[in-house]
Amino acid sequence: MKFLLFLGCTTATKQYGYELSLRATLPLLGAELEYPKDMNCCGVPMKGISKFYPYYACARILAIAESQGLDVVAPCNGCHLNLTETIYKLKLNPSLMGAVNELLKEEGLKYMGKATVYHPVEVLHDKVGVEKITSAIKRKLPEIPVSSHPGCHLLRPTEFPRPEVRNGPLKLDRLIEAIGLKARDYPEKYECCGAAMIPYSPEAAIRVVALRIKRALAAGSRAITSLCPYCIDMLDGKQDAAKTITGDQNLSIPALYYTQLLGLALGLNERELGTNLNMSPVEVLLEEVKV
Amino acid sequence: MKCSSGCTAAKVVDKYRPHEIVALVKAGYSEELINSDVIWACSVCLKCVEYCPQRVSPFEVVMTLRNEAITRGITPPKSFVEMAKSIVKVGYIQEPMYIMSKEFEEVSRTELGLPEMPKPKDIEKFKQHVLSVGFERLREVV
Repeated sequence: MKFLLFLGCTTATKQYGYELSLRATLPLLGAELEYPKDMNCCGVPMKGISKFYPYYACARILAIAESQGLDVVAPCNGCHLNLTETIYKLKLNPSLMGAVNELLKEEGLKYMGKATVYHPVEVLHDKVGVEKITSAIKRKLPEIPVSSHPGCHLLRPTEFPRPEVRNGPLKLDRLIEAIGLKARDYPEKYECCGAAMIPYSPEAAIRVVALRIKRALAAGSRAITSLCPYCIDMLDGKQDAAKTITGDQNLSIPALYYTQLLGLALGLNERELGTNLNMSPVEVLLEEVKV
Repeated sequence: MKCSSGCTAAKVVDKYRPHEIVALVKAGYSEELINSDVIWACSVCLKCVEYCPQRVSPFEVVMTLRNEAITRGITPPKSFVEMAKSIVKVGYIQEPMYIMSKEFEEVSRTELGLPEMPKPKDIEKFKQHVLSVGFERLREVV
């Protein structure tokens, strides 16, 4: 099982803990990752500037994967949705497909509609499988209540096939339980992290983060986990800002990538998983799962 | 759930209500919306796409209004301009950053043993294409 790793912008430029933990865990479970030599952004934050650009950007990514005979793993929810949308829209619209390929031709590329795109939640749950994960881990983590935050684009819109069911049950929750932790529901589970509001109003975006953390804490969660770089960038990285803006000093909870938790169960160390790069108080949790 | 009751932005931005935006467009107030910053508040959570009982997709309406604003030469919030400039220059919305570890080390890809981020092979051609698919309407980028 081999995939082309398309990281997108957020993971590759600042969410290094996600990349480190993906690279450290997936190959141990039989999913090899090849890193491309030619790549670009998926275009999702630019939809408001140009609706056409994401089709060109995504078709370019898929064409590169096809030229290497590989399917794509896209660890960012936004990239995954945008790539999926491109696959579907271009299949239904030959003139759009033609226009995109007209541009790609000048770059020595051709998109043929062959490559498939997977999210890590699908690689782990559907390709590797919960049973294999359970047997591959070195030890079960303690039964700590952890809330999953799948992130919008893993769930919506159902106009295109999405990796998760929009109101659950979630593959991510089954994966949490596969390594011994307890999946804890909370009312804001299927909500947005607010990341895409930052250009308009950082304060409004951080108020969204505050709401999520407050509800997760109220539900008794001891940590939040996700497989989306935008969600963790917000839920892990903006806790101090959330405290400042709301004045609520209790808005503090460990927030980690699921691949970081999985890595701990696989016996990997904190540096290999980049947990020293998380900004939320992950130490409390790490101490507890260390045995 | 309907569009505005589920809307992420509506919960934190008082003046943002997807159903009102759709109603204003229908009533002929597109021009006013294009010239207002409110259309840039959407958080792209896509709940309005998913739950609109009339299958309208306010999100698509908002994105169309944004595209129209760009066509008219209206400058979007400056992060969008910076992201667009970066795409034209290096193929991504931003370049790899230095971040601070818990041990107070400044680290980026190299320090963490991660390979260089792959950029578009023929960056000049890529730039030309990005401009031709709509970025050329953004004055600050050209």
